[in-house]
Parts: sequence; C-alpha cells; structure tokens
Amino acid sequence: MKLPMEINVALAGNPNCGKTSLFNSIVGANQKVGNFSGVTVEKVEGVTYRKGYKITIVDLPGTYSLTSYSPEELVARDYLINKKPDVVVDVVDTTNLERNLLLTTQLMNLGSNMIVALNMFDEADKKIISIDIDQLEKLLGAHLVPTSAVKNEGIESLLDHIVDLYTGEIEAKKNKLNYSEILEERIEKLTKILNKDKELSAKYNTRWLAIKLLVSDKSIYNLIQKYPVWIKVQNYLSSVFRDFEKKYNSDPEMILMEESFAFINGALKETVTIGQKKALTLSEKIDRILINRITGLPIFAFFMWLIFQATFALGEVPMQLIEIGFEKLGMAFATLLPDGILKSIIVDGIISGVGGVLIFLPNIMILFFALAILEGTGYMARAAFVIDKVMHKFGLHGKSFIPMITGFGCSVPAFMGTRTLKSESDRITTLLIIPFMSCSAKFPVYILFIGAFFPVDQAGNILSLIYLLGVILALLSAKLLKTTVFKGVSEPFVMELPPYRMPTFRSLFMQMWMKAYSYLRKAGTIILLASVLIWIASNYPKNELINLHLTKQVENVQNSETLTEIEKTSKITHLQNQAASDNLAFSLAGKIGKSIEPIISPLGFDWRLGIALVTGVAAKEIVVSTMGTIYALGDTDEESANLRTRLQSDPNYNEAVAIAFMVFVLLYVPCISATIVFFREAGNIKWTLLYLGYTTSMSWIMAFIAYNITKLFI
Amino acid sequence: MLTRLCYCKAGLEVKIAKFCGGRGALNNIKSLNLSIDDSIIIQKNENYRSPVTIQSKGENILVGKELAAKIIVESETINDILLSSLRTGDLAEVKNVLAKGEIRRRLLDMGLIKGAILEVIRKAPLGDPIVVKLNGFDLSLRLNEAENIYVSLKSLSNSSSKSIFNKLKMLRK
Repeated sequence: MKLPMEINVALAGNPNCGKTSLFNSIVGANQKVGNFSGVTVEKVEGVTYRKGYKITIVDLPGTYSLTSYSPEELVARDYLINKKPDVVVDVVDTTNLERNLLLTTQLMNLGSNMIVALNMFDEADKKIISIDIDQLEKLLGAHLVPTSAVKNEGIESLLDHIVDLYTGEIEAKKNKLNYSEILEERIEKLTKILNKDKELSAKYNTRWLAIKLLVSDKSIYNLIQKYPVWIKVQNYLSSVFRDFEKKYNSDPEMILMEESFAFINGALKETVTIGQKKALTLSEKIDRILINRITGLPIFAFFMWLIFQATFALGEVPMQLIEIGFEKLGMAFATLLPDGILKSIIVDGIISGVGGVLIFLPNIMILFFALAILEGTGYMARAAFVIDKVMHKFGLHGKSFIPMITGFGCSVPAFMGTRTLKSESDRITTLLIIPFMSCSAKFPVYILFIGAFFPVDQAGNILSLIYLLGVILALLSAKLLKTTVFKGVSEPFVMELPPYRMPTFRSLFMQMWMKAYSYLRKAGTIILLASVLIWIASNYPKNELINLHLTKQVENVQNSETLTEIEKTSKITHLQNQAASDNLAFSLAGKIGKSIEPIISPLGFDWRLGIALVTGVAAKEIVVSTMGTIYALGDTDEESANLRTRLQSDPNYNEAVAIAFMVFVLLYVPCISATIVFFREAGNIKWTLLYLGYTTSMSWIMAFIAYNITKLFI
Repeated sequence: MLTRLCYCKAGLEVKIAKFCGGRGALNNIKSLNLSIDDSIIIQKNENYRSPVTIQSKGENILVGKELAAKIIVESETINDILLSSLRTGDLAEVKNVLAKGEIRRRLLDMGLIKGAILEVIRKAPLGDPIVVKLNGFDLSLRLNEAENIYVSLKSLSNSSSKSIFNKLKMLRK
C-alpha cells in the first residue's frame, strides 16, 4: 500500500520549553491561526516540505501534563486521541528534563508514535550537562533529536526523523511505562474489564483508559459512563480506592505520580551527568533585582508604564498617518466621483470604515510585540507574581493586570490581550470588566463637559473621580462575578517562573504579525460591515424637504444685496450646519435617540444627548462631533468654545446632567469594534449578551445615582 | 537535628542551640530570659502562625512568630509543617499534598510529590505568592495553595541571616 505523501505531525510540550520558537523555525511564515473547535484555545498550524513529503504541523497548546483540567490540556489530549497524528514530536527543555519528561511518560502511556526533541540543547551544553542519548532513547522507547530553535540547529535532522518514522525507515519502540506491582495488577484487571466492550477496545487504547480511570480523570469517567461496562468498572474502582486508602494511606493518583517521577529520576540518573553548577545562575541574579521585595513593585510599575506609553504614545504616530491617509483617499475619491448616494457610500461609508478598522492596528501590533517580549523573556510570569496579591483580593489572576491597564488606552487590544489568561473564568471576568477602564476615546467627552460646567480648579478632581469610579466598579464587578457566575471556580496560582531568555526577533515578529492578521481577518471584516451600517443609520432616511429648503435659503442669501461676501459665507455655513442637524435628527439614529428619551430622561438627558449616545456606539470619538452637528455648529471638537457655550446656555443642562452624562459614557457599551472583538475573544454569544446587558444597566444605574446626588449639591 | 522554634509542634521538648538575627532580636531574646542550652517545652504552636507558647524554667512565655524563627533549637523529632510557614532558605522534603481536585493535579504535575526536596527562595514584594525551587526550576504558588502541602525540614538555611544590613555590617568589619 502506498502511503499518502502528507504527514500529520503534532507538536506537544511544556509551556516555556521553546516549542513555539521551534515551530517558527520549522515552518517559518507558512502558518495560520485558528481555534480548536468549540474552545477559544488558539490552534496554530504550519506546513513544510521534506523529502517530497508535505508535513503539516499543529502546535498544540503548552501543557505540563495530559489531564483534563485546563482547556489547553483537554484540547491537546483530544487532538492526540481523536485526530491520531502520524507523528508526535514531544519538545522538551533539555535544561529541565526532570519536569519536562513527565509529559513524555504520559505520551508513552498513550502509545503515541513519538520523537523527542531535546530543545535548547545548546543551553544544556553550556550548563555542562552531558546526556547519554542512546541510553535515554532505549529507556523512553523514542528517538531523541537535539535541537536549538534559537540557533536554528537540528531542525533538518528533526524533519528527517519525522519522515523516516512515518515511512518505517526507523522505528519507535513505544515502550510502556511499567508501574509497580500494586498499580500494574489493577491496571491489568481494569484493562481486562474494559476490553470486554468491543466497541470501546476498538476505539481506544484501553490500558491508557484504565490508567486514567485510576487517577480519577473526570472526562474519561464521563466517556466510560456511556458504555454498559461502566457498572463493572465502577464497582472495581471503588474497591481499588478503598484498598489504597486502607493499605497505603494514599490514592492511586499520588502513587502513580510518584512512580512516574521515580522512573524519570532513575532514567536521568542513568543517562545524565551534571557538571559543576554555578552558585547563582544568571536568572537568579536578575530575579534578585527584578522581583526583589523593595525594587520589585517599582520596576513592575515602570515596565507597565513603558508598555502603555509604547502602545498608545508611539502608536499615535502611525495612527495619525492612517487617519490622514484615509482622509486624503476619501478626498481623492470625492473629487473623482459624481455627487450622489454612491459617492457618499464609498467616501463616508466604506473608506472611512476601512480607516476605522485599520486605526486599531498600530496599537494591536505594538502591544502584542511588547507582550511577546514579556512572554519570551520570562518576565510575564514574574509580573503576574508581583501583582497577584492585589488582583487576587478581587478574585482575579496576576496576569489580568496587563489587559486591564491596556483598557485605559483602548478596549480592542485589551480584549485581545486576555488571551494570556489560561483559565476560562479568569479570562471572561477580565473581558467583562475591561470596558470600565475608561478608554482614551472617552477622554474628549470628559474634557467637553468638565470644561463647560466646572471651574478650572475642579477639573482635575472631577476627571480623576471619573477614572477612579471606573476602576472601582471594574474591581467590584470582578469580585461580584467571581462570587456569582463563576462561584467555586477558583483558579490556582501554580506557575513556573521560567529562566530568563533572549527571544528571537523572528518569534516576536511572528507573534505580532499573527495577532494583527487574525484581527484584520476575523474582526476587521465585521467591524467594517457594522460601521457602514451605523453610518447608513445616521444618514438615512433623508428628508428631501430639508435639502430643498436649504437650497432655497442659500439662494436667497446669495441673491441678497444687503449682505457682504463674508456675511454671506457665514450665513450659508450656518444654514448648512442647521440642515446637517435637521438631517441627523431625521435619520434612523436620530429617531432612535429621540425614542429613547423617556428611558434616559430620569438621568436628566434630553433627545440630543440621546442621539450622541446612539452614534457613540459606532465610536466614542463621535459623541462630541455629534453634539456639534446637533447644535448646528459644523465640525467641532472638545476644545470648541462655541460648543461649550452652547451647552452652558442650554437650560436643560447643568452640572448634574454633565456628571451623569460622563458617568454614562464611562460605563456604557464600548464601541462596535470593541464589542465585535469581545465576541471573538469570549467565543460565546451568552457572554456577549451578559456584557451588553451588564454595561448598559450599570451605566444607567450609576448615572441615575450620580445625577441625583449631584443635584443635591447644586 | 537543628530546627527553628517556630517549626516545633506542641509537646516537643527541645534545647536552644543558637540564636540568629540582628542585635534587636538578640536583645528581645535576652529580655525573655532565654539562653543557649536551655531546655524548653513547646506548649502551644497553632498554625505555625500565631505566637509560640513555650515553657522555660517553669514559666510560660509567649514568643512572637518572627522571633521564634530566629531561635534555633536542637530537637530529636522533626514534625511536619505547612509549606506556607517554611522560611526562605530552608530546605524541606514534601510529605503530603492535601489539596483536592485541580490544584492537587497541578501541584503533582509540577513535581510536588512525596519525597521531593524544595526550598522557598523568595516571597513576592507584597508577601504572597512565594517562589519555591524544586527539581531545578522555580515554581510560584500562593500561600493559599502552600497551606495544603506538608513538608518536613531537611536543613536550615546556611546563611544565618540574609538581611542586607548584616551583610553591610560584615563588609564594614
């Protein structure tokens, strides 16, 4: 039988073993990111060619073991069991074989067609570790290939091994890990029971199932429960557990782990000699400064500040270029195309929509480059370590901190940054509270309203209060979510602090690029569609009478003999602004804004603020310019003195309304782009609905409270 | 074997071997009327957190936790203590992991099994989590989690006091 010319390879390994770097070295840019079906665990797939074979490699999520606790482990395991890859490459960190080989023993149990890549072999060399590779190969029953992703060494040899193992040129012995009598006896008995079920034994490796049952693996329990053999299995298992409790005062899980480590230690003793160790490794020296009890927090704060500044201050430059570029493009099209609906859709709808999608790209790229540096060097785990105590008070994980502060800049990259959180409950909680971290697009709204209603000496205090309110609500919401929705789901903080390493530029670049690409492909298209729809809603339907009226009045002004040219222009601008205001009021967005007036009037808002809030769903920057349009002031920004005076002179508005409006803008649904990215990251419509409902109700309640309290003081 | 007073459980009879710590600690110890070679009986040591009650020369004395860590005693039996109460620099052996479910699984995966030798190498700036060195790598875990792990002392930290001030003092000499 001729073998297909395509080899499916899975890359398994511990976190921080250099698996991703190795993957990048193997496949280069030939990779694509997707999701494993049903979960938000990233699936990266790459392709390379060797000896005429097409080798498709899936980079499984990094796991320490193949139990079923974290989604990563479950995904990796299910992939290995159900997809049955032709070859499994187990990437191990040669400088830390003791822990890394645990996964290897579990892959041995699974009976995988395995090659072990001794990654970071060059570093092990430095540490004067010498390994008897032949002997270790015999013990593990798998071929070992020394590799170094950083130095690009051993990659070809690894690919040759993959092809040769696939074609049968070389063989994997597939050693079984033999446990002690007390375990083996039970494993065998259980395997026998399982083998009685023909369907089960045809589909799975029953020895592996037996081992998993002995270590009380929940998902295997659930699997076996579906088979009639379950009753026998259950009876036998409960007798085993009683036995262990009585005889050994332990449980099979503990004993099995002890024996796995004993096997590893025995194998290493036989094959590895470690030379003279330095008193302090470089990592220990760096840690003495970076996470020291005194300097740890200031250094952490500095790095966070640096990331924030880089993402948003440095990002400002390309963002402006994108903005100007698209403005110019729009103007070019405006002169080319004839007036009409088509021109309006292309220029104001599509071109500005694309610009609106691309505008987030600089932030996303810089942030993810910075995050890749943090992860790649090993500081990320330390950052979580340093701040964990504070975050844990509110039920969060130390790693939630970075996405949260990123939220002060923009929710879009912040939402995407939650990917670094491994636990579902931590990630969803962090996603849900990020909107309360006031993003930079809301800033102009605060400036406008504070400037209009509060004296200069109070401005700073009020601005701080608004930001503080957001942070407090975010933390309290986290606590609330952790005690209600995610009650009982406590994420342990058991995390390796990996040795400091210098990441390769290629790896950093690839991570940044994949993030940017997945944003553009997945969120970008929907954001574009949504912004075009919102643009249509704020421009249509059109009332022809308004425009007819405008044309007539403009003619009247131009024909007037008493007015000077300057007076004419100003009059015409005024008329045009008035028409724009009337058009907006007549459009769908305007009608929605007006129709929500009864809902928002308890907050002191009139229909004008309603329209501004509705258009603000497209982007928060639009709130201020919408106010300008409604007041028929033409193009305005938060510094516009005339918009300020208009607000001041409007009898409907006062300090209480201003405060309530700022609170509402702080808390209500972030822009449509953020909402779409949220949906992508949460991976579930249920969470998205909770997010929309929670932010909206919270904003209304808090604005109502703020309005009524402030009214007491004025 | 030498151990710290704060590690000893109630009922043990131990002999004071030496004191470590700065001048302040020594003065405090002196004021408690404790001296080297005194035999003392531990009356109460709950959770290894609150002060230790000891009986010395027929009198019951309350020794603060920090101070109890600085009193090194000779004891015939070494009892298990919680990993969360292990002092930085001391070497210990894992005896039992009481955690359940996921936490237990994670701890086992990381090599926290019976017989594993570990050392607390540092605490976070805010005191929690801690970093434990075992099997040649650094593992951080919260005190919450460390409270589920029983260890027994293997050897005391070799530098009697790691305080930076002591090092400066030594340099000046």
